[in-house]
Amino acid sequence: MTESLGSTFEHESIEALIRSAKNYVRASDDLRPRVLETARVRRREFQFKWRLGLAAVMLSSCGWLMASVLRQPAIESGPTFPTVTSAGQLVVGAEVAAPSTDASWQIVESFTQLRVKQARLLRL
Amino acid sequence: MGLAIAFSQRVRECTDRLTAVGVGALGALFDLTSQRLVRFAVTLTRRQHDAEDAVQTALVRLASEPQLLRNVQCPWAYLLRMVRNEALVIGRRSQRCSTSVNLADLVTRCRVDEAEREESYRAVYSALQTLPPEQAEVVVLKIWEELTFAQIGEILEISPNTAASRYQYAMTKLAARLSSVREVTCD
Repeated sequence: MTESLGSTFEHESIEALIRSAKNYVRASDDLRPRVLETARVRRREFQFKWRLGLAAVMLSSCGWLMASVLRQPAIESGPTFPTVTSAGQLVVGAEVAAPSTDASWQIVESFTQLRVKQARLLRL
Repeated sequence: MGLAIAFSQRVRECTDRLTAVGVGALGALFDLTSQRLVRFAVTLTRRQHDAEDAVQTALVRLASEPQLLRNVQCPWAYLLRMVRNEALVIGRRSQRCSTSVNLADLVTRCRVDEAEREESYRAVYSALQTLPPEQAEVVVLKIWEELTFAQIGEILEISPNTAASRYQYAMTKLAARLSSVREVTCD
């Protein structure tokens, strides 16, 4: 019992000693500006990234909207004639149809067929 | 205990403002908590610089993500836990370089009328730094932060009984290490 009381007293006095030292260590003077500055920089970075993301979303939405608006009249105008880009397809078709086995004549025949097809298209 | 509750209430006011206003309210929270957070972190990292890094990281994270506190019941306990986690990460990294304890590294403050007690303060810090960190942190939270073992258990994610047992072990060791200082102080 006496030992227990002695131990309690001992703990209390040690606690008091430790409690007295609680304000001995403090933060260094430059910690406050450092924390505030870092927080501001982090906040600015966050806001910049957020705005950048927002701008990217808006740009992609605008692009999608523009594309859908531009596509609208093309669909409504009905069947269209082949354009110049379809010349590539004509060339491929002509090469397949060429009966000659000589490579140089094949080119000539393909070119001739292409011109014929282009002329037919122009007449339409 | 009343002081601890009042302090916790003031921390809540500051964190509420931080959630509402943002970074602009961080200064008030820093002024209120920095010293306590640094001295708590010092017991884990054992270096002033590392402790301040832990406090800085936790406060900056809180300022950039104030929503972390939205559903928190006790912001002060949450803040202590954040600093503890950061301090443990930094402490683990630093221990690979050095394990020495250096009191000269600490930034201290001692009023003129307390100058004669400085030796006992230094002895207290030296003794705390010789304890295992898991015991030292319980002592700091119990004596300096005036928390209950249940609250300490919540912060450290241990049971209240474990917290109490660590405290008892720590106090026994501290009593042996600080006996000479206590005698001088009593004289």
